[in-house]
Amino acid sequence: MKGDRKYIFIFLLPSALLMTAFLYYPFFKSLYLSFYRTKGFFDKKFIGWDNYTRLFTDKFLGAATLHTLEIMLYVIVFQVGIALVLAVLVENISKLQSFFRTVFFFPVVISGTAISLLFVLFYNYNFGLLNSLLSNFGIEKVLWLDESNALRAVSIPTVWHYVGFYFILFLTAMSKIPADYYEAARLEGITTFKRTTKLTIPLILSDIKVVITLAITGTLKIFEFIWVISKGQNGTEVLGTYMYKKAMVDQNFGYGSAVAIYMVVFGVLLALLANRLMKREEITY
Amino acid sequence: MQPTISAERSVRRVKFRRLNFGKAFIYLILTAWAMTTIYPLFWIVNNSFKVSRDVMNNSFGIAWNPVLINYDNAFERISISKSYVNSLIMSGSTVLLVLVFGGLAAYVLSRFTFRGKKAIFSLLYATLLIPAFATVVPVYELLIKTDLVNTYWGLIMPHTAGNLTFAILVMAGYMATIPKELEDAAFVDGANRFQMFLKVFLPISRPVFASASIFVFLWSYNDLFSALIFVNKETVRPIVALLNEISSQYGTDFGLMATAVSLTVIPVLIVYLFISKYIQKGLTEGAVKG
Amino acid sequence: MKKSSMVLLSILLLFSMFLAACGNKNANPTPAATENSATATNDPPAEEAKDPDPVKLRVFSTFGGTDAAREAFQGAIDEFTAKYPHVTIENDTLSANDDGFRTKVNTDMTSGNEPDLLFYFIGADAEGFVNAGKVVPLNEILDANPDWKNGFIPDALKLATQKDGNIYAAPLTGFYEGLFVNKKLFEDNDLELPTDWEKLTTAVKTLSAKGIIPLSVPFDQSHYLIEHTILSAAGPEGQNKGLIDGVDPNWEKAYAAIKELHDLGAFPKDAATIDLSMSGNYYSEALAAMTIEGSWAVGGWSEDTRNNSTVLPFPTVPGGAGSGNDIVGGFGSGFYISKASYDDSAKKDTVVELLKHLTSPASIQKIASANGGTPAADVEVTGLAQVAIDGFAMAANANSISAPVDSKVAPETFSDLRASVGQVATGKKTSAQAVESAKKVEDANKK
Repeated sequence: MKGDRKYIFIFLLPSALLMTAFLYYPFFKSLYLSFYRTKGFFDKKFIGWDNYTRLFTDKFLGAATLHTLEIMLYVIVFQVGIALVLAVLVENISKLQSFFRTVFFFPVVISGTAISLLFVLFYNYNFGLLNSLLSNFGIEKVLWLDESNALRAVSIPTVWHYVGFYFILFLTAMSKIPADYYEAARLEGITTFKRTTKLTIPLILSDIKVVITLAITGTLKIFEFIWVISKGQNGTEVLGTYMYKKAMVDQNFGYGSAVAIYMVVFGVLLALLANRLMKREEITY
Repeated sequence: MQPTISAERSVRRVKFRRLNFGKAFIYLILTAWAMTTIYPLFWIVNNSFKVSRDVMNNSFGIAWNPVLINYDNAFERISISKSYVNSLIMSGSTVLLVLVFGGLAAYVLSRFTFRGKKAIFSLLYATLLIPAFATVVPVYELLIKTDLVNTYWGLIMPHTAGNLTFAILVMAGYMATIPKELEDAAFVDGANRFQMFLKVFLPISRPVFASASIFVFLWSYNDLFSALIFVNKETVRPIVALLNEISSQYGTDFGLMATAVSLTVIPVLIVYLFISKYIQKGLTEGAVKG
Repeated sequence: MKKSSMVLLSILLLFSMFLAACGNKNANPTPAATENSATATNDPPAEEAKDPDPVKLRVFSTFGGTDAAREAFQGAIDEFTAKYPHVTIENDTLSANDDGFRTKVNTDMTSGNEPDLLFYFIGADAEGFVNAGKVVPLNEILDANPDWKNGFIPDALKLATQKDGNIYAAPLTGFYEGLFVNKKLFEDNDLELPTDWEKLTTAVKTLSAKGIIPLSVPFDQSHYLIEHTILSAAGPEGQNKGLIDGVDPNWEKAYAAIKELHDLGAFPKDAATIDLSMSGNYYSEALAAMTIEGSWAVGGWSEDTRNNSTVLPFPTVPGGAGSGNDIVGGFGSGFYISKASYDDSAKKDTVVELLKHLTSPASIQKIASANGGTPAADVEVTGLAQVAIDGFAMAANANSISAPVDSKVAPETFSDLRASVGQVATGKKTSAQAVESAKKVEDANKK
């Protein structure tokens, strides 16, 4: 279209300016810091690639990466999966639709810290809900947050918290499917199940891709649940908590920044990989 | 003749019954999930009426004899209403800015073809990965230099920037699938790009604007870390920062913490219940128009 | 710690009435007289005669929210502004428990947004901005204002001294840490108070057999456990050296002691999975008979537990160099004057005056009464629980008071020491390896 160049520029400009000032510039400052050995805020010394070579020998970082990947798997399979199933189910019922839409969103409204606190009291060894139930049945108490269970234990609230988020995104996506498609499907006598797999899901495939990408990037930054429930102990350290510990607790901003850079690079690679795997012809209406 | 008819009828009946059974099963699953989402909310509000010791030892019992001591403690010293207003102003402005700026950017990225578009998308995905802790110090320095610390803009601008990425991606994803014919029709009418955005894309994209606005609002409203550093002064402090201050000194007072959470969550929930009507309207309207 | 200062501390407790009266007198210095002597060297005499120009000061502290001393602190500020109506004070606060606290303070200090008066930690935490010259040494001002200086217990000033030998922060109230014991649980089980290692291990065995948690501490946030075991293993001198110039072989004994306690069943079964507040809850709910904590924790416990508690120095671990009567404590934070406002002639005198007012014995007395900390001045603190009085006595009778070991090593090193606690207890690491790995981190931090 004529004059598009002008509009492209004008429409992108405000977002670009804000993001440059408050995201990219600060991030490049971090990039710069990652080449320094920092001690608190005041002393820094240029050390070249030392922080990066440390990344590759840091076995805690390796473990944190693996834990993050495991949680990511749970998130993609269960969080996105449950959200999709729930969205399809709600789309298929006539009564109480708005009720379910509303209540499924409740957890998203509650801050992660509050939900973590709830789960702290679920999992507590001495008076938590789970162990009270077990001891009522005369079963020995379980250490829910020890090394064999902890990662899965923190994954449960992580997954559960944001199901409602993706659920709403899926519903939004489904809402744009033209009603006459469904009408046509009904006239053809296609079963509900078939309609879902052959019509609904292919039509929102591009949104599913966006959601999976959001899930991948969101999981890489995951922090609150783990910080509150387990403080990253017992094999639950993830990249978010590790970066936080290095930068904020240990006040080693240089290495913390290097970890942040690693997170971004790692995440971009993962997102690219995911997009490659999910590549299929996109359907337009 | 007769047998065929009866066979057909019975087939239909079986199908009907199965359908019913299927529906019941659907409702069962949905109700079960709804329980898991309602209960925690109840749990938090319930525990806000207990003293800390009861929260610890019997957090799952119902507070039949509610105590108001936590609410007394929370309200005693502070002007909670001022903080609610602050939160509303800052998170509301953030939503508005994100929708306007993000909407325009999403429109460009979804409906225009130009060189570098792919690169911009990749950049946006990468931006989603930047951890907040990696940017907080430089952002704070910037705010100090521009004298924006402890002003509303001091939180609105970083929050807007931080939420734009997500909003642009989701909105662009939605707008990309809007039929081209609508756009062409408007073009024939002689509308320029800006009018097209206002008259065609804005109304059709209402559902995605509505959902994005809720998420942006929630993130902005619940973001404690930035609030503590950028706008932690009585005149501008948002409600999360205030309630955090109440509960942080007594980290072990679970009752008070539950109260702090309840006081944060309930207004949002009320707002959400109102907006959700609008969203649902948007969702159904979108379906009809598309 | 100097015996003389201990005597002084005891005197303060005994003759508190008299001293409080003294303090009140000191609390009202005549500004004009004291000021001139402090500032005559650099500044032309202030024009007191004229109507003073309005001054706006920002005070950044932790006395906000539900801090017990919030009102007392605001009161002290109000007193000042009532006396000097031309001064407006912005009372800016953030809780020290918040993750953002250090970040905010340090960014403020680096980016030209320094508060005029800053209430912040003393020691390693402050080293950055102290070495960068962002705050002024108070030594000269103190010497020039003997009234103000004499208001402090000499010991408080000594504990507030930074590594370079200067005092940058004027202390307000201090803290002590120790082994808190639920006397009732000990009596119920016919146990002697754990005044030495043998009594401690006996108690651990008995309590653990009865299903009571002997010593409630978490593995991850094991700050106080490490501070006390290292202090008693290495002794005050060995602890003070940190890890910079080589490893004191006694440090290992701290971890060996932790391992021994763990094997005897001293710690909660879920020590590896709880945090400090949960471990505090176990003690508060009398599920645990002992815990290692600081004076600030007392106010958070249930009333029963508080009334049943006493506090003891942590006993010497087997083979340790400590005397069994060494405690961790000090004046953890104090008021700094930023260099920027000290160099600003419009603010300088007012800032100094405000500092003198906020750390006058009268203000200290009010704040100590509100938060139960050890006062930095010779004043009587009333209305405290028995355990707090026990704590003061413990501090007064201690052979030595040392700053916690985390102020002697880099933050990253301390994180490593903490991370080793669980691993040594469960046998995944030897105590020698724990110290070795901490040394490695310390060396990397020195590069």
